[in-house]
Amino acid sequence: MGSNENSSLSASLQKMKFALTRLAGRYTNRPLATVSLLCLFLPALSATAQTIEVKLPSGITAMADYHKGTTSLPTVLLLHGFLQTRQSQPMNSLASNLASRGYSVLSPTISLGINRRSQSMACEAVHTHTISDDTAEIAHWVSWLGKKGHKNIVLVGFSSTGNSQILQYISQGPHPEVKKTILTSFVPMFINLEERQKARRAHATKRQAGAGKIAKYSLGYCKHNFASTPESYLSYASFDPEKIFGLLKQSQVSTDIILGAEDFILPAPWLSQLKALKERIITIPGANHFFEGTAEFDLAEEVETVLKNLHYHSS
Amino acid sequence: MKHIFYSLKKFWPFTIKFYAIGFIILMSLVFGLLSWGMQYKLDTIRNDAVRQNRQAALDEIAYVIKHLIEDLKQSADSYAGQDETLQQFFNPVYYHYWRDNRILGANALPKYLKAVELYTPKGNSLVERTIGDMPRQLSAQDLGNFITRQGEENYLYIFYPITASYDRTDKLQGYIGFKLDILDALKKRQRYSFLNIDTLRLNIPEAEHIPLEQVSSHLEFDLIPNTENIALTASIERFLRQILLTMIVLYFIFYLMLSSILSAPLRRLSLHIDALRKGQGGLLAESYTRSLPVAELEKVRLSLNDYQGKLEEMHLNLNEKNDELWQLAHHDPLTGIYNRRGFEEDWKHMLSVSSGHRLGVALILFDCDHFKAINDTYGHPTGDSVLQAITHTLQNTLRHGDRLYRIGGDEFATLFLDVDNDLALHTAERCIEAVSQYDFTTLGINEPVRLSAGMAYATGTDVETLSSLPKQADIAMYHAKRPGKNKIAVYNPGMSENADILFSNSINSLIFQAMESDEYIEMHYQPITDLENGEALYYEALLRIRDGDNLIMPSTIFPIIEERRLEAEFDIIILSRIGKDLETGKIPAGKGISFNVSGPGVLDALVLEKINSLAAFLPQHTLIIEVTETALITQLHLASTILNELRQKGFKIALDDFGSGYSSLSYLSNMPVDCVKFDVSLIRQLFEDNRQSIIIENLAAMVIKAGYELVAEGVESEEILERIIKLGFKRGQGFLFGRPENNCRAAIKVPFIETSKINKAL
Repeated sequence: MGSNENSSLSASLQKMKFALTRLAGRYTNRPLATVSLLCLFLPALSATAQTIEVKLPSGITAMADYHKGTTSLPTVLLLHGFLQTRQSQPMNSLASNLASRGYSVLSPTISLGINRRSQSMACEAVHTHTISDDTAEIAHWVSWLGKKGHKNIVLVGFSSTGNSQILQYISQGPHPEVKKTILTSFVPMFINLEERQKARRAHATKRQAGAGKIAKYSLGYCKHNFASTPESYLSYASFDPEKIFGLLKQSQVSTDIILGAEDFILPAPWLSQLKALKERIITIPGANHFFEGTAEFDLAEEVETVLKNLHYHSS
Repeated sequence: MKHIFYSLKKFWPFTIKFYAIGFIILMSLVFGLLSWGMQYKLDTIRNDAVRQNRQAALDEIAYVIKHLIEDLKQSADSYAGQDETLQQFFNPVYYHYWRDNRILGANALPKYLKAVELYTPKGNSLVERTIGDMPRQLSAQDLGNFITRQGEENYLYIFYPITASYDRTDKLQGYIGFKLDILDALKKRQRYSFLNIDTLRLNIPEAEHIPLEQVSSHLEFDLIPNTENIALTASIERFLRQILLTMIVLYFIFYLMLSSILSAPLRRLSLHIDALRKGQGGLLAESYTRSLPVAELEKVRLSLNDYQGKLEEMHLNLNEKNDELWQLAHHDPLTGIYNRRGFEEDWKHMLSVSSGHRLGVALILFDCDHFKAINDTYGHPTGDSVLQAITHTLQNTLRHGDRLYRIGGDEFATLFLDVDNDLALHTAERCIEAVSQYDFTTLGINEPVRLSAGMAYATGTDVETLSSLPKQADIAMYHAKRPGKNKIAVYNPGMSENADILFSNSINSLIFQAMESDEYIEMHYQPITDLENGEALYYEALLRIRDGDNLIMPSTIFPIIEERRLEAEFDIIILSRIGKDLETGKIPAGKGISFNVSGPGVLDALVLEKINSLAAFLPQHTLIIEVTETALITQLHLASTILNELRQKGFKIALDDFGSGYSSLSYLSNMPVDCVKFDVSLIRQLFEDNRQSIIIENLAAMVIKAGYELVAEGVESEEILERIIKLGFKRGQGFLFGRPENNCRAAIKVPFIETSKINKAL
């Protein structure tokens, strides 16, 4: 695996500028709103993020933001949610907050099979990626951190996919420096069992025909429009609560769960099932699934608390 | 033009209707001109609007195309910025799915977009099989845009480069190409204000690539009718039509009004004036103040009526004056009967009604004998009274309805229609008798007043025959007037023969020749005999004109001379011839000569000079001047003076033909007369057993007693001689004593006188 790192600050600012310009472009007819938006992102601009590009074995170039913090502090690897990017909330804010507090933060964008993916993927887009591909990328980025000399790596995942990817990665034998996993807004992925069954049959057929036919499935928030190969679909659809709980139980790394008290995405029995696992569950009052508003700072506080505890124990 | 001018001139001056029609035509022309001008302006505005609208339509299309391109560019940019798009260049395994589902099937693109394809930086399509005839390989010319026609459809092919900015070099990744139905795109992009999008079409040759920038020159379209312009034009045209309609109505009303309130009344006024001119009109009753008053017409009507009233009044007065004038013109103011004019008009009327009918027509002329002597003797008032009395008497005698005319001083006429000759003659006789029986002594006139009548009768057949009646009546009157004739003469053809002679050109010519040369003149001498001894006392010189072997007698000569007013000239000729006879001794010495001098001759200086020249013979001859009482009456006083002077010179004066005319004793007493010659008519009447003979006897006695030498004319028999001798006549003249001869022969011895002489001697 070779890496092509563009870690200059100007590049980071350029990308930020690009993002802001794109956002501002939508408000060209609204100068006041544009100024307000720029002010909102001022903290982000102040962060010293580097864009890291690595070429995966598949030939795809994957990208990540990297904040080099204090080496004595744990390093955080943030994993975004389903089909999102590293700029998606709440991981983007969390990365800034943690970086501003001196933590080294790596926020990769899982490529999902897209070269230089920088945008969230639509449900309708062709999905050929599998959770194994994702896990390999995580392993790559963890390894990259390790090569950078980072110790005490904490994996922070968001929502069903990010968390499932962490669980899958952990289950495959994590990097030795991976000391902690934090599962935020930890929910199971919505799966239509009937669809999954059909997909499994189709996957069997594919294997026979040797062709990856695109079909539309329901997966997570993608309702009957997740265009993917059965293989791709099934890799995610296999993460039913049972598998999750199983992975969670088998996890060799300590795991904390942070949930929003107002996260209505959480299925009704889910919370009690989690509690039954006797994992540490932190609930942030007033926070929704995406920890929007001031909840992002609460989230950062809670993560930092976990990180501090980890640092304390490491020290 | 000239022809039109002359044609119009024939109608000059024009009628009001002509002017009205002319005005209407003129106004119509003006209106037509204005309408044309307005229509022309409208057309100009419409054309400008069409031009502007066409430009606006082109601008609309340009605007739409510009935004279409911008949107496509935006779409291209959008796709270029998508990881999915970029992924196709990296790994086009699922390109078809991406194109068909993520691009075309995403309903994000308009329906007029027919195809999308991605191309490598070298212009090759990412897949072998493109859709919608998208090119497999892009040429350099295609890397912009172009329009081409495929069958009935026109498509815009447009290509945009796709770059990636992640490496800060904007490295070209490839191209994205769109194919869209350009017309459909233009139609669906927006609503058009000027362009009728349904008519939009592109005129592009098949398969030819036309750059988008040149598309406007290949566009064909219709404009959306400009509703405002159309509404405005329609409004103006409607307005013009309404004005036209209004003007037509107004013209019609104007024409009717002009015809009704001006032309028709004026025409009626004109007709009325024409009628007035023909005398058929009265007052114009029509008023012009009823429905649409026209003060001027009403004033004209009132003025005309006023004028007509005054005209009628004048006409009435004129008629009265005419009647009066007609009365004066046709009536004699003295007698009140019709005058000559009235006679002539009645005569003409009679000619017109009698011509062609066998009606007996009688014309009777009456003439008062010696009326002038009455007038001069008793004065004009008495003369007038005589005429009035005659008129009254004649009117009473004539039948009721017979008209009596005074056609001259003392001439009357009456005209009978549908009568026979006897009745007319009898009426004329009754008239003569009635006048003769009238007692004129009541007027202070002692002398008898008589009428002579000449009558002509014809059975009317033709105008020529009837027209000769006045002349015939004149001839008859002439005959009646002749001494010793009946007082009534009815025309017969014999009279006409005499008259023809009398008035023949040969006689006239002879008389004038006699005046030129005395070779035609012959003087015949008839003795006036002393009744006591039978001797010729003197001779009366009597005129004869020699016409070859014939002699023309005084009865023929003197009417012509009197008619020609040649009395004085002939007196001189006669006196000259007598003087010659005296000189030559043709008249023996001692023998007296009496000669006739006419009335005008008595007063004529040359005649008097000639008479005075004869005074040289007075010592040897007794010269007696015979004048008729008629000749003296004209200017009695002057004549008396002249005759007295002649008497003083030794001439004697004899009153000739006394009794044939007026025979006034008072007249006689005032005349310087030595001798009175009783007319043959008086002598003849001595033998009639009536009062007339007694008067004549007494008259003779009175004349003799008054001291006049009395001569009896017409002594043609011893019976007459005896009678006149008994009455005291001393002189006699007549065939008994000798006819007039061209020498002075002794008187014929009459036995009675001889016997008387013997008896006296015894």
